[in-house]
Amino acid sequence: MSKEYMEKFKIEKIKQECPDTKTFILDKELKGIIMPGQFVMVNVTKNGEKIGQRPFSPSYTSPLGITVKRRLTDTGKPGKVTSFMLDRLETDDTLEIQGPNGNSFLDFYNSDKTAYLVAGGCGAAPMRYFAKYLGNNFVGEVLVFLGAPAKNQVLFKKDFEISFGDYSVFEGIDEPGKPGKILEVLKEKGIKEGSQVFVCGPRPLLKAAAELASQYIPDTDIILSTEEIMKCGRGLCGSCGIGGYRACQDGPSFTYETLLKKTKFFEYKRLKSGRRVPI
Amino acid sequence: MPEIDLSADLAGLGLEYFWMNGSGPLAMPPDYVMFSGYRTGAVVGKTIDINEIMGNETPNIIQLDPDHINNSIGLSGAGISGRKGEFVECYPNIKKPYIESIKPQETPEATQKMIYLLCGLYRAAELNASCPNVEGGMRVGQDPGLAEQYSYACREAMPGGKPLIFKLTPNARNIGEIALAAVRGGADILSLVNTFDEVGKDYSQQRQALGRPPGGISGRGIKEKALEKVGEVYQAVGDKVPIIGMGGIETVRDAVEFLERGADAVAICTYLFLDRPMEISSQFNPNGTVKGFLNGFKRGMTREFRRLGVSSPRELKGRYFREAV
Repeated sequence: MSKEYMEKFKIEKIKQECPDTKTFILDKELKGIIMPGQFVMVNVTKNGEKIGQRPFSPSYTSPLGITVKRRLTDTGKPGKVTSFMLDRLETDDTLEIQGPNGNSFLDFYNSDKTAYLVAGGCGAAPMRYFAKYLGNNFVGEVLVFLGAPAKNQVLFKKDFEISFGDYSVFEGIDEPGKPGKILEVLKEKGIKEGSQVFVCGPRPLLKAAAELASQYIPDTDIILSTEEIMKCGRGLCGSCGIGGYRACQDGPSFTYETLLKKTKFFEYKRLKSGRRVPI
Repeated sequence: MPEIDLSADLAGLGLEYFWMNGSGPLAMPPDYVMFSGYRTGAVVGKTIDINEIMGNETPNIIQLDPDHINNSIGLSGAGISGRKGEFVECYPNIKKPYIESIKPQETPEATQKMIYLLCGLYRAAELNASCPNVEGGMRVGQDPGLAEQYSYACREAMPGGKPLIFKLTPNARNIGEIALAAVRGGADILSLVNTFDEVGKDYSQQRQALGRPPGGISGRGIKEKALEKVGEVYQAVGDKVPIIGMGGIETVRDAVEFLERGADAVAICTYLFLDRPMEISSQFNPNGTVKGFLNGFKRGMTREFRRLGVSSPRELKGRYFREAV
């Protein structure tokens, strides 16, 4: 069974990471080899009811595990699929999963350079796998920056600190109504010349982190994991376009240079219909 | 060595290369701009409607088997007003002829009104009379009377010099009859096939997993049936109406088969876009890019024409029916 097909997985364990965020550990690995930054399409059904399919970049791979945070739609309402997963899924329920899709952080990673992993909220999920992979395979220096709206919403801090390697981990907790504390922490720490910065999280974080990093390193060494409305995940439906590229195939990771010079990623976002709206 | 001419002229629509994309996967104005920089004869847009359409619930595609993909995308789009600013901004940068795919409205008159709203920002327009994934989407493509009425209305509403393409469905009772009706009404070019309702094997159970089943089927598995339909239409309309053939094309050889069956030009859709980046490759994706594929396709087509001893697609058109088989 190759990556074109949906595989059935059973939920073995559910971890409540923090309010509105759970990690679902499944019963086996993905058949295809998934690399850090790639994603899978997760199709949610229960008792014959079809809920929907969404993309997730796994936090765990042996076995497969995805971390789900309750999404907010364009209209500010809680997302249908993520809410269902958080509120109704139980152990032994099944998920249908297709993948891996997309490019990987490793398409950009240079082991001679220091890597800064910057994660906002649930962006820590793919970073968890990335850090683990780097720890298993490379001896380059890695610094991890975890931003969250509250201390109990910092994800996987212990894993980053203890399990993966000799990594420095910094956290940045937002002041009420003032997101982005992690950027102040990053700025204070400074970004070494000749390093790379990988960012995953809400779009404002991608923009601000890239602008900050741009003062220290070339735009081609700043890698952003984009999040777009994605429906098929395989390049056919056209929903995830960014400046002509497809987030599901040319991405989801792009260099800051590509996004800045060739797209309007920082000026507009897309709705479910594909309509463009200014940010 | 004779010069190989890969161009085509379809009722005045000049194409540098006789191939293009099938409507659907390119969905937004920046997609059209990017694709127009590749080795393609034209850029075909995603079917546009007056209103914004959210699209069907996911999953919107399902792989049925290695040769068939089942899609129920649902014509998602911003709608004519919704995309206007972005489209007007991008249109001057679409470097190849742009073919607008339009959704037939409730009435022929309403469809005319929609065409006026396009303000002529297209080189040709394709009437998508055969989409299975929206309510009533196949109505016009399955009724000769409607096919003729809608073709007439569209042709009247469009500026002279901009060809009208009628996209045929393989699910009609008699595709030749629909083709003739569309031409009678005023269609300048015929394109076929849209997706299939059914293929040899019964996949009705698997297809229920789609957000809005049963969707339409495409992929290399439909090629043989698509070729049959092109042959049927060619035999019905003869040489006077240009035909764009599509359905499961993956290789240069496949495209040549469509020409031999009666096509003047071809479109590639599923194989061109599925699991392929537009142009940024990843070491973890074994498939080439859309851009790379089209470069290879052009080189391959030139070689194949030389091998066949022909110097233009016109020499291949309808050959299937002329040669002793």
